[in-house]
Amino acid sequence: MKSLHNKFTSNAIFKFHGGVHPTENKLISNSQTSVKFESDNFFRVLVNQSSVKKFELPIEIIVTKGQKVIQGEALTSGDSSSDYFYVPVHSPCDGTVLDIECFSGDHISGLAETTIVIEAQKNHEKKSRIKSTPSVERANINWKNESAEYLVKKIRNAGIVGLGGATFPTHIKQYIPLKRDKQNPATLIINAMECEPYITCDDRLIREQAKSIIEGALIVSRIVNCDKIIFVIEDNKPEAIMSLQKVIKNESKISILIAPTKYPSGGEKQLIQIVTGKELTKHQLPKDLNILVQNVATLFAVYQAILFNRNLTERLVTITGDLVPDPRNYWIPFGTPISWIIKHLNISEKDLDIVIIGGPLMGQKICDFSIPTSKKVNCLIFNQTLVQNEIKDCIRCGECEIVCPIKLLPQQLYWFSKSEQWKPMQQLDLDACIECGACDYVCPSHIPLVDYFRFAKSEVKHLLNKESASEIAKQRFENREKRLIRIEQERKSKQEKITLDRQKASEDNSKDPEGKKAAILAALNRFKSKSQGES
Amino acid sequence: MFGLIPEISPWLIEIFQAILILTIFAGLCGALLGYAAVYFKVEGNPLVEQINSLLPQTQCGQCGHPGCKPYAEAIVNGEAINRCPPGGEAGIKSLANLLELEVIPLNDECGAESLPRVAFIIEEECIGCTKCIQACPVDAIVGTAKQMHTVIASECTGCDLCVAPCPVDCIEMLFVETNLLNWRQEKPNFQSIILN
Repeated sequence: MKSLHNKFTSNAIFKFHGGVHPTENKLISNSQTSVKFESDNFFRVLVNQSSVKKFELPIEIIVTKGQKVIQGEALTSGDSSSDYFYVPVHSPCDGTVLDIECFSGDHISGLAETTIVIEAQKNHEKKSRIKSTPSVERANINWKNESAEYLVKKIRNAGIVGLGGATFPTHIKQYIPLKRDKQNPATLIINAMECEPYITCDDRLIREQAKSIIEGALIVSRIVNCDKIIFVIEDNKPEAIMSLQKVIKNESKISILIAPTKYPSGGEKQLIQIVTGKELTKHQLPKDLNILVQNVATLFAVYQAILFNRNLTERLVTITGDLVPDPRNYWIPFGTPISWIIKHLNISEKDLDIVIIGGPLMGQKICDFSIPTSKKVNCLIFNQTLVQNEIKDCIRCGECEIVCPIKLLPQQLYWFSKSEQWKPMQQLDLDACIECGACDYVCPSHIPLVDYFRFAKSEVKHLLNKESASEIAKQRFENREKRLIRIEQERKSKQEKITLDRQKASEDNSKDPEGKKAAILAALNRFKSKSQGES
Repeated sequence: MFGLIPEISPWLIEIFQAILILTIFAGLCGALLGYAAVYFKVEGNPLVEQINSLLPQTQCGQCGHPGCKPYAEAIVNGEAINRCPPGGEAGIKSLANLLELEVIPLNDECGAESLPRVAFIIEEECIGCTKCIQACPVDAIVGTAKQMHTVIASECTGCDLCVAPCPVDCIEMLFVETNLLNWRQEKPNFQSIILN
């Protein structure tokens, strides 16, 4: 029998259930070199750009209105011990803090979030708005001699989150080193799949920065102490594969796994299934199989943070779509309002109704162009608005079940969500849905299934919150009732004791008149001595 | 000697055997049931607990009972299930489901279903009379005599009971603001674009 290790070394490819093959549309933007996007404008930096928004994070803003900041300076503090999940944000430019205000953020709800408005310095004239990729000076650091804790802390303070689009804080994934286990060798899987149509930023980054990415991978492998590094890349990126192969020739630890193109092979769980053949349950994390998955853009950010002391203030963003005159990848600083991108790249606003953030399958449709870009924005699609497909009734064809990568029953879930029956939905593992949109893509009736699942998830969460709140209220009410009864009883028993004492005293007095006289005498004496003392 | 005992016919022995076995068996069962009745006794009515767990626990008394549990007890004794405005339509549905009753609309006499609210004390106006503290069913108000009071917003059920006792009318009921933690996704509504 082949051990898992052998499977790794033989570069076996496993399959996952379902998946779709949408039109790729990657050629629009992947043939041009990436350039720096610059605008001497203002930036709106969201103070929380990681995916951990469900907790109320205590965010400490360390700049004040009117303060001068330099490019890469921390705007919020990540050092206090209480906010373990928090990742700081940094200034995208040299400039002045104009304001700290609430403004609609990148959350799907469009709700206002705290943002820091920074006006860029205008004193140095810029000859052209678009420059080539940043030239850098390497700091004198030998990361091989540094401890893992130091490196993780540095990664956190540089503001690095998962740049594949999920924006989960990277330091939390790296905190615990992988175990030494013979069955599951500690593996760093590098996600270079980029399976969604239109997006080419990872492809471009590998082509241009392969060497840096490999070094970033070596740094992360040093942190989590792993045996193997596997680059997994889809076969639709031959140039990227070639440039990777050129660099890793002399690294025995690193191998490349070329996987067939299929959506959503870039999902973390699907990726692990492709590499190991093992399916993670909804309660399992990659850590349970001794695996750490990192995106190439994250590794590049790690490389920059460790070797160049550069904080994460910009990322490669694919600007594509048929309305863009020059579609390609741009280094866009976080906090650039989308309206400025539209203006600077001469995108015709006339035909533009909706911008898609992310890919067309999982992305978020935005109508408010004033919102700023953030760490999760890896692609902006400016397409002419297409005619909305007519939504028809479900014909129970079962296509959605065939393509679901996690073997759910989207059709069943849809019916239950429509009739708002949450219990059976939970039994059908609603919370395991990764919202990849494959079911939406194949649905012949154009039913927005994922929207229904998101709605159900949000309602289930609301119900659970309500239940726990009512449980707390019940406890508090019962405790109060108990306390009131106890106080009442104590009062009663005290009262009873007093009346009993009185009765007893009066009985004693009637039985013993001498004692009564003595008591009166004693009281009189007490009064006399007191009045004497006073005079 | 054996001659003294009258001869018993074998079928009679069989009958005695059967009676004996059944008596022993019945005795054992009786002992078991007796034991269970003592040691596995259910305290209170389990249905009350079930109903109580479906009620919203605001303890507001809008149903005419002093708290959710008394209302649950009243429902068991035949009270209507449509007297809980905080539970609303969803609450009536789940109660009807549990008790296998018809779903009926909310009783107007008890009040109308409203969005979640919390009490807010205007602290400058508070005179520290402690009347609201005594009225709060879930101990969500802190303060002491002649000192300013305040509401622990996370524990407040929005029951309204503290508003009436306040002599200076310094308690307001505010709607809970939508934030990233309590935001709810809307149900997809594509009726408008479906063509007939």
